[in-house]
Amino acid sequence: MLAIDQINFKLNGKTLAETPRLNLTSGQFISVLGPNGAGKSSLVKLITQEWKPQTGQILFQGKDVAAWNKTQLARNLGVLPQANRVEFPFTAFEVASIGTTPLSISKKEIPDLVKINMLKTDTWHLKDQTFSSLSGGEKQRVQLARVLIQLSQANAQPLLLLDEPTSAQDLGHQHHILKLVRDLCINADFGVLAVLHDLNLAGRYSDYCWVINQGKTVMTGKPEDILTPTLIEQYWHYRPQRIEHDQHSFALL
Amino acid sequence: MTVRRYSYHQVSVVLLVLLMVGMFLSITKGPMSLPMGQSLLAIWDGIWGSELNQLAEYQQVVVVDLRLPRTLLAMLVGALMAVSGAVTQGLFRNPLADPGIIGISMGAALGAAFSIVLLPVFLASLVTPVAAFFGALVTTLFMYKMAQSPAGTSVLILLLAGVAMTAFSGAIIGFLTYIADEQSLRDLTLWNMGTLNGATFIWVGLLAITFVVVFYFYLRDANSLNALAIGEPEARHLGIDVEKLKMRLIILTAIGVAVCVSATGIIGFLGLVVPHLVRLVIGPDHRLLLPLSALTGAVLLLIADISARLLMAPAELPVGLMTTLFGAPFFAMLIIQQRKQLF
Repeated sequence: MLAIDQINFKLNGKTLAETPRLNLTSGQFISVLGPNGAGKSSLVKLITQEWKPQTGQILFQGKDVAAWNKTQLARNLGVLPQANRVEFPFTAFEVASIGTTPLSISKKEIPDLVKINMLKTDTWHLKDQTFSSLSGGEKQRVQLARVLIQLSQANAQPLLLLDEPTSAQDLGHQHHILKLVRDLCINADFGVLAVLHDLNLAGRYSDYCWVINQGKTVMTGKPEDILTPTLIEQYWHYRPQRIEHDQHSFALL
Repeated sequence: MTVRRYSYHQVSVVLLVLLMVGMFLSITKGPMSLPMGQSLLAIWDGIWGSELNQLAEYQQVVVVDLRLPRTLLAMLVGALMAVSGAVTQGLFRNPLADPGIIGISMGAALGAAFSIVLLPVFLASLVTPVAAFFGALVTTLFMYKMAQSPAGTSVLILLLAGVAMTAFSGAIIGFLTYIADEQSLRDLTLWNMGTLNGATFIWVGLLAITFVVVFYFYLRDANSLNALAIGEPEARHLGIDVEKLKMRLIILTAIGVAVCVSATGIIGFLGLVVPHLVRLVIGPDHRLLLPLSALTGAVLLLIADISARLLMAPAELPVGLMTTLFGAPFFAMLIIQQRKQLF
């Protein structure tokens, strides 16, 4: 569903993104990994059209993202933000309903749609609280409900981008949100591209990883194959101890 | 924190009733009190050319030519300033942004003052709103550029730049009053105080057209303003062309503020106070906030004008003085409330 085809993006002479051909198919959870300043968020900005690559192109559902109609693209590609500041005293329900912005939907259908998605993300009980009074984890889940509403009229399986979704969360919330997203991959065939900092979370939840360093995509593969102490030392300058749990799961210390 | 919201329909009905009461008071009360029924008949006669009322000629003039346009002008300016305030706050993503406080009104006043002083009288009345528009537009664009930072809009810079802008425009207007001839000077002082004194049906017509057009386009962007509140990149990801949206809103706000300022001078703080009150009652959803702000603005300016006429009767206070008297402490209260976010 998403094909990043040899893009090159320079800003002020500095290469921020340089990729081989990368693919993401529906039902896949792919983590984007790399040390600070490696250009992980640049990749997200290129996919969401905030930046335009100088060479190469990004195909989404077979069509160049730049050629998509903005509203249509919004119905098929959602971004879960990392910052969660909302101005004015909107309630959780109102924030979630903002997800209907790009949809063609009658006013009557909105309450049910919002309710279904808030139940999915376990936030329905918060609906009448002001968004700003929620905890970090609750805010993130309300935002996820908002993005799911936004994607509820997708033409095909939608793509969900997560930009460091768990950076400000405690352990329980990190797992909660990633598990929710992981379930969307499995049950609803969503494609997910997540910028993650925590390699253990990446190892646990993703099908594939793209490792980025100094703007370049240097390695792609399954987490168990590429998250080796040697590779991690090469890019993160720290050699962890890897403890194998079983064939597909491991922990990095 | 659970919030309680009132029903949109109930609140609108209450406001409409208040608006009606305000209109009747505004038409019948003043240094000269007139009977309600006869006054309404006089207006009816004024419109249809009938002769049903039994008021004396000079009383009819007071009702039809003075109080009626004044009442309508108060409602329209109140409504337009209030929605302009609501949209400015949405655009800058901050509840302290008000066309008066961040210098837009003063920019409009500066543009208007230039046309009043430098152009011959017959031209000035036509050009004043246009000159005010350019003053307001330049100020808004400047403020927006100033306050933008990678981390979002900086309120502190916005408010300080507003202070600088207001002082600067004030100084130039002061300079213009020195070189003004007698007629211009009279126009300038009258209008600079913020008064509904000069109400004519021509202004009422211009205000009505401006309000309808600006309000229509504001309402079309109400959903986008909601999306903008959850963040600029987020609004973009929701399919909104944020740059175009901002430009559209800046131009519309400049038009609205410019026409208001040209008609009545600077009537401060309505744009700040009204959306804030409405948000407390109905919440921040712009689809409800904008219509109710318009109604509340109309009601409040009407009340302010009635009290400005009655407090020192037969003398009359400028209505801008009334709104500022109540608005400024309100602003101080908001700052105290927001102190944490400012620094």
